[in-house]
Amino acid sequence: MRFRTLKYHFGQGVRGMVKNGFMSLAAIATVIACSFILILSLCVCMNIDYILKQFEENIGITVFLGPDVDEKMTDEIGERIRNIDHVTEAVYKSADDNLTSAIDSWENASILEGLREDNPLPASFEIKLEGAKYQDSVVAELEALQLSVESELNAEPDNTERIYLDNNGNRISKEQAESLGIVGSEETTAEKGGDTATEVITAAAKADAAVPAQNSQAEAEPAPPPEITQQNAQPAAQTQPAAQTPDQTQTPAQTQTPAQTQTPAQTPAQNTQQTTVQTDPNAEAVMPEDSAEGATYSSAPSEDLMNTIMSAVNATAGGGGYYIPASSTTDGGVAGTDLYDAKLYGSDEYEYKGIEKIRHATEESHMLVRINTAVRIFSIIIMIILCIISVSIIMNTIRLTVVIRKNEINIMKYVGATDWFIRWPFIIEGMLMGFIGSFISTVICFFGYSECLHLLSEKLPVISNIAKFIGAFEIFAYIAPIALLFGVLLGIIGSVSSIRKYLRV
Amino acid sequence: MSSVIKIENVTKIYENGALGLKDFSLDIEKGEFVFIVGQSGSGKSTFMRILLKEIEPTTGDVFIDNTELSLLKRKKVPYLRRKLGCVFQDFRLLPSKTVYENVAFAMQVVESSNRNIRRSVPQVLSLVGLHKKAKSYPDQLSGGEKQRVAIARAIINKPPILLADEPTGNLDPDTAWEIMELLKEINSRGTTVVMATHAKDIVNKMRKRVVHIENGVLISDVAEGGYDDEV
Repeated sequence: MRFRTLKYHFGQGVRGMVKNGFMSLAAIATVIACSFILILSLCVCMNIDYILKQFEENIGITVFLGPDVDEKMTDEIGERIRNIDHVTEAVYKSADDNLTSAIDSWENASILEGLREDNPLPASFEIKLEGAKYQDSVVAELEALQLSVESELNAEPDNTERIYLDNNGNRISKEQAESLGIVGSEETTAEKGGDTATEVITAAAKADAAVPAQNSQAEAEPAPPPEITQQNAQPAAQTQPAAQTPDQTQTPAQTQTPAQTQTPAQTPAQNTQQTTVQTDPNAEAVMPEDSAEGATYSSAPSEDLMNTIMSAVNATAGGGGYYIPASSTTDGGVAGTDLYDAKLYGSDEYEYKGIEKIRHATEESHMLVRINTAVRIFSIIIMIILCIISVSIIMNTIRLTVVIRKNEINIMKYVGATDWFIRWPFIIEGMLMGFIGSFISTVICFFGYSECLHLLSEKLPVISNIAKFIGAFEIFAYIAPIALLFGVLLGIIGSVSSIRKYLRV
Repeated sequence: MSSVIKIENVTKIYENGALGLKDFSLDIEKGEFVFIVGQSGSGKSTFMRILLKEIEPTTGDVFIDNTELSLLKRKKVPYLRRKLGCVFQDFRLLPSKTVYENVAFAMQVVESSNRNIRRSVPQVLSLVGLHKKAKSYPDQLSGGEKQRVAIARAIINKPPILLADEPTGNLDPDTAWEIMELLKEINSRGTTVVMATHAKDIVNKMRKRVVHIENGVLISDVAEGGYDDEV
């Protein structure tokens, strides 16, 4: 198109708009209304997105380190965590750091101050992700890391202190244990398995749910019996859960055979144990790969059942630790196993060496991802509906201005004007009206939005504690071009579709 | 002499079954002045509209300047129309534009340069005798003056053919005759003029070629004929 033609079209477009003043005003008002709604919904959607992102960032993963991780190991673990895809940062928190922050978050912190001497808290890595949707894959990676760290640690000579419990779960000396006949079994184990690291645990009559998790030597972590729901297919396992414990302790790194460490105190469970041992290979094959299964346990078994389990249960644990299943986690300030999906190897509270525990909020992150997807879909649908409505309104408005110029179009056709020559002035007119309309509503919305932000921060400061909103300039840097483009497109589509009918002469 | 307009065995039956033209053939040579006469509904309008490619013939071929219209793409129709100046009974001027602008409009549409427009429009306006009314608006003009503006607009791009559909229909006899003089003048400059009319006196007086259509059928074609001449 030649420049003078463009100039001509532009002049005609402007003239057309001015000449049909009333109709143009109506069309502009329509565009203002439509883009106003568009901008409002964009503001809402973008802010929801923004706030969700803030929440997502807060849902990180915490990795707790075991006591036997030295500085070099810590650095290496940190490095390996940072190398996992979608991990944005991994901040090391020493045990002291964790205690300090625990003290800070408590009102009557003086109670905790006493722990300074003998800090029960573990060191940890606070891991942040790119988004909640990566949580699952990162957790899987971390679990793999957990396994490999443990096997590395196990490769080193084991000098773990052995702990003995009597039927009541109390610690007893080695001599006492021997007198109870516990050590005898151990020796059998040692002979057969050839592993000096074996620990011998008696059948504990009761597991104390309050035993602190962060015992530096060995942890008596109460947890629900995981196998009850997991191995429904095995009736024997359900009725006599004690028999299941040995397979929970199987790790790739372990060399001992837990079944052989059963003490005489466990005789009631002995019969069924045979069955369990046979099922072991199964359990072994499944668990290391898919530890998620191990985490789907019923979190609140009945008291009766618990007691049965406790009285019968005990087995050795891999390498340096042992465990006692119980009904709740003892994990720092975290309450409720249903909230924090403590995925532990084979058992719910199995303590790994190296990386003791991976704490993450699967359900919350899944929920956030779902909300986010829902919000996106919803806003896209709203936008599409809005666009359709706007286009139809603007089409009707512009059609009126086109009808007025039906004769003009007709004459142009007879004189030999091409379709595009006829269209251009209308397109430019539509563009102008669309631009003016969307510009006006952008300006209105900009001031409205910044005023809203101002009022919110002034009158309702509480809200800014919960979530931050996007600043007026930042959000309108995105919205203004979209709104203007929307207005211009609206005008163009409206004009082009309106004159189509009259071009057929 | 080559035919500017050549119509071969054209039949047009409208979708509602009405007959427009029936096996109609006609040759018009360059520089001719042809009257198309017949009663209302005889097929004159169908003939004109087929020439403008507003409608397609049901069967038969139409050539304008050796271009077959049925082969012409829709996009090319504007270029066909630039070869055909059009004058209508109802003038079809743009009321919002001045006389000058109405004529210049036809040149803008074909993307002529402004210089060209400034040079040509006054020339054509003085040809039709309206150079003093260049700044008037159509509603300030008489019927004859309006038709002169329409004629000026039709010939401003120098089309080889001028189609006039009842150009004198709305005019009193004196004014009508002035318009005919103008058309004769244009014809004498080399433009082929095809004029549909049922003004007997004008046809009889002009002594030009007369093509008589009745019920879509060509019933007579007489050089230098009168309205009621039979073959």
